[in-house]
Amino acid sequence: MMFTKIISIIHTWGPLLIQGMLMTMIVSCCGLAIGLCGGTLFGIGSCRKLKTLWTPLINFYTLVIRGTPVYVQLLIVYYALPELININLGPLQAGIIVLGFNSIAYVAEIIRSGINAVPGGQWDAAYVLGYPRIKTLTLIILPQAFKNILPALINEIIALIKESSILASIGLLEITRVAMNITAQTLDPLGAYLCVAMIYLFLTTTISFFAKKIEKKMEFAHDHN
Amino acid sequence: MITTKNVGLTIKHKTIIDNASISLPKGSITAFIGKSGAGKTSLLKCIAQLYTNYSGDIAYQGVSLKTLPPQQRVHAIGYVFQQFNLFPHLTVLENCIQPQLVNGTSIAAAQKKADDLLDALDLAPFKKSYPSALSGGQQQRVAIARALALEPQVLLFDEPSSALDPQSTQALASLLKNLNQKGITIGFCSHDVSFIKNLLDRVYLLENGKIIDQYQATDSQMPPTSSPIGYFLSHG
Repeated sequence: MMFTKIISIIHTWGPLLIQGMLMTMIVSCCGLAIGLCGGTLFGIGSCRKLKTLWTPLINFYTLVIRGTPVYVQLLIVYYALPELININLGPLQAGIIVLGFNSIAYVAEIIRSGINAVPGGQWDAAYVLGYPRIKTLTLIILPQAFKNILPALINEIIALIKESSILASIGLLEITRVAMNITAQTLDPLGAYLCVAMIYLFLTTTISFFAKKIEKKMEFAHDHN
Repeated sequence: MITTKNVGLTIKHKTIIDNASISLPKGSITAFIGKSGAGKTSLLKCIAQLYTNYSGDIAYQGVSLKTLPPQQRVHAIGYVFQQFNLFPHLTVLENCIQPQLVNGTSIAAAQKKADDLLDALDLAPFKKSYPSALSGGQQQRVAIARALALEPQVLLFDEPSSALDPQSTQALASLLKNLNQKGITIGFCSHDVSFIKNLLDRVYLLENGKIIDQYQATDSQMPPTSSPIGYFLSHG
């Protein structure tokens, strides 16, 4: 019964579901790109060994972003910000900004803890061998930190994909919004929402699968060769 | 070659080194001995510029090390850590090549230098291994090869025998003598009496951050037991 409902939804609404899935992937990828780039810079800027004048600001940013719900952040950016600075953002732009800037805070914390977990002796060894700071980071510290933080980063990517569903509330035609529209027409929430849940599960499982492969490869290189 | 003048180091209101003036003449083997917490490692770290907030001056061939650019510093002083601090994500060969590349050596020259050093230190079979697959003694030899790859004039060792079994300690002493004969000035800190006796040349005894005695061996003669260094070496 449930299975036939899902098949019927896919059969009837397939193209719209694919369109929604693509929109979810686009908004998640853009958010992730912002999150990874900004989060890496913020994480480096707030780690113990490289404390800068910006560190208190970075800490304040992560405190605010992590301490408030992403849904509230979305409402502020989509509804309140245009009034404040007189810029109108479409649902896609607002969605990318919120997911990206929210992700920055979480990625920064992950990167910061990963860098701090690399033994201080590695910084010292790089220093006595004449590595400049930037090369110490890129050639010595970040590769080691990356191995430790990979599971946490994957969690963040998965969380970001799932969080993108809140963009349905501002009318972005991503996968959850598509399901809501289908339900409005069919008056049958079970099939549409189950179908959407399966699509989310497919996306997150695919990411976990490849992440585990990368993790195993790195473990082999470092621990068993 | 290296001289320190009235070097002092205070960390968190605690005096770690107090007015230490020492010298590591060219071609010498200098030991810094003393009990744990005497300030031996801190003094070596000051010389290697791992601590730069010291007072007084440390000079290499008359030039203050604080003013020496990193590219010149690495060719002046090499440092082998007590825990070796090899880069775990790089193979043995990469550990020896990458620092050279960072300091401007060409890939071909860096590769040749690393190969030669690893062969000379009996590490040829481990070139493609990661440090975690090696024993303590092998890791230490990789750390020595990595330091030597930059051709330093002075090589400093922090507690070099602390992670080694007696056989490896003996081999290390021979290796240090060998390096010294090739013209490399050696400085090390240790509280391993048998290891110090094996390399007896110039000795400084530290206590609570102060140099309390110094000794220059002639014909590897032991210092008199009435002196603080002689007492330390006979009682440990």
